[in-house]
Parts: sequence; C-alpha cells; structure tokens
Amino acid sequence: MELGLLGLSLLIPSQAWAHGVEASYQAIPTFQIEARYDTGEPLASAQVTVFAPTDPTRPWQEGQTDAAGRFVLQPDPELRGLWQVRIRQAGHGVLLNVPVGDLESGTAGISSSSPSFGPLQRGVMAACVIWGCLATALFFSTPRRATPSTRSEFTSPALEHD
Amino acid sequence: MGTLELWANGEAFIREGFVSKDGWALSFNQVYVTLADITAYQTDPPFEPESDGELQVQTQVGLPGPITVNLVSTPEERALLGSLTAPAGHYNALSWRMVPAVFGPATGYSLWIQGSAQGDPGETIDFVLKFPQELAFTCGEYVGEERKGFVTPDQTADLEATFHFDHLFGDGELPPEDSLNQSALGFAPLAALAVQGSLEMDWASLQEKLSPAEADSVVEILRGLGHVGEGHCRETAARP
Repeated sequence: MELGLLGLSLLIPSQAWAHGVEASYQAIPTFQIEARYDTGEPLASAQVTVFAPTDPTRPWQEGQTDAAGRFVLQPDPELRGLWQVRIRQAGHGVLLNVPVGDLESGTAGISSSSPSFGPLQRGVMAACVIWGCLATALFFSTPRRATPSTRSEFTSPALEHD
Repeated sequence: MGTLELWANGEAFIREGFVSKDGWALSFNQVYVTLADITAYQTDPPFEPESDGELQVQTQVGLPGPITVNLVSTPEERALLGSLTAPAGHYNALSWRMVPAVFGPATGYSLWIQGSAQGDPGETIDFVLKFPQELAFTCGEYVGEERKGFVTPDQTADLEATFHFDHLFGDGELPPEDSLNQSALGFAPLAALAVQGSLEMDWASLQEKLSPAEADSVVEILRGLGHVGEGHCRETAARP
C-alpha cells in the first residue's frame, strides 16, 4: 500500500433505516511510537507530549508510554506537516519528528539514524511505525501484526541522564 | 526581530552538590567552562545529532567568545553567556566549542572543577581538576520541561548549553548497575590520588596516574558532557 494515501480519508457511509441511524467509518493515519534505551529496556510509563505543526509551543496531546514503551499517535490528518513527539523519563529525553501528509513511497520525510555515540553513553531509541489509511482500517478489523509493505520505521536516538 | 538569550547550565548537581556513585559527597566551589563560537540555528529539517546528517541552516546568530562562566556562582541557577538580536523563528539547534580560557583562574583550561569531597566521617579531600581539551558540540533542539528557542518580534527567548557532570562522577541515588554509573568514573579513583587531603591535577597528570581504562573513560565522558537540556549533541574533538 502506498503511504501516499496517508492523510486521505476513507469515508464510506452506510445507510441504516431503523430509527434513522446512520453509521460510517473513517480510516485515519496511526503512528505507533516505541521508545527504549539502547540496552533494549523500554521507556515504560514515560511522559509523552505531542506538538502539532500548527502550534509547536502548545501540547496537542499528553500521555505516557505503556509498559512496553509504546505510544500510539493518531494526529489530525488535516494538520499536515511535522508533528513532534517529546518523550521524557527521569532525565532522559528524545524529540521525535513525525511527518504527516504528502508522504510518498513510504520513505519521504522518514529518517533513519545510526547512533554515533560512544559506548559510555546510554541511548534512548524512539522508533515510529506508520500505518497508512488502508492499513489502519485493517488494523481495526484484523489481529495486530506487522505489515511490512505498509510500514516504515525511523529511529531517533537521544539520550542521557540529567 | 527579537532577543535570544544564550545560557550555560551545570544543573543542580553542580550548584547543590551530590553524592557520587561510590559514596563521596561532592560540593563545588568553582566550575569554570569556556565557550566559543556559540551559535543558534533555525534548521529545516530539524537537526538530528545522532545521525550522519548535517545542519540544514536557514538562519543563524552567534556569540564568538571565548566566554568563561562559573557554573556554581550563578544568580539565576545558570550563567548568561549573552543576548543576541535575532530574526523571529524557532532556533532548534545550538553549537559551541569548549576552548581554553584566556583569562582568570581557569586560564589555559576549557574545564576547571574545584570542590570538596567527603567520604568516610572525617575524611575530606579538596580537589581541583583541570582539563585543557577543546571539544565541539553540535546539538539539536533543547529537550526539557518546556520547549525553547521560539523568538518572536520584540520578545525574548532562550537556549541553553547544559553540562551533565553526573556522567563524570556517577549518581549515588541510582543503582550501581544503572548504565550511567557503569560508565561514570566516580570519585574513588581520584581520591586514591590525593595527598594529605588534597588533589590538584591537570589532565596530563591525571592521564599518568589513572589507569589507561580510567583515562579513556574520562575522554569519553568529556565527549558526552554537552547537552541541550536532556537533548543530545554530536561531539567532535578539536584537540584531544
């Protein structure tokens, strides 16, 4: 599936005559972020702050990672641009840049990095897995599993201790 | 145009003292760092210090320095390096060089640490550690409780060069197996070099007295000293 679909919406209204109820569903882009130390230890219950591209100074969403260091971001697909996700825990911090919209071939705007820090520095790895719209729809209708053709990852290690 | 203030911060570890990983209670009288070519950038895309990418600079402002500050005696918990008139925008990267001071007590040294360590009851070591290394740090966006570097017309924003000294001495509040403590030198290897409760050594002497592994660890620790809050920096040693 092409990530060029990212940001598009799939809106399929279905008519239901009883009681005049109408239901529809819409696929929206979903980003699963996973934060862990370079030792493999997850950043469990880390503080997560999401900033939308339209207002980088005011949190759009706040939350925390789960026990596995994961956080699911569902940005407003109408707000295209660079979303930024700040993950902090006990003096360790990372700022992850998540491009939303206008992605092509699954790699546009995605960066990958290889840590260049010395062995004496403890890294925080933040990986982001992106599903496009169709995959998102499938996400809700099938068991969660990796979909290699529709996901990309990038890592942004940062790290350290206050 | 707005104003961008540039600060240096040694954190509470330096201002208030702390216990090293090996149980020495450290307090600090003077910690001088000397910075030069302190430059704030607006970059697009955001700079990732851990990647191989280079700064994609849109706008930059800077202080040439060198500027020597004492990270201990600061009225506002951090030391002001200077204020700059800056075009509006988000300054999301910062770089600086640590260079030897050209005047004052730290002359010839980029990092000068003077303090006192208390071990067992009644055991006190007064120490001065002097490092001449030139180090260059290029960092991404400040990472902390709040985002920094947003300059708006006629308003003042700030950025901060942050120095993590727990990387050198370790943190007694963390378990020994914590990776920070695993990689920190601690104070015990330095205490072993003290004579009659006193230790004053420059890097050349420390290299001779410490084990090769300990000396190598100090080099790595210095390379990781510079941060932007909790955010990382890329270090390139100008002169080891």
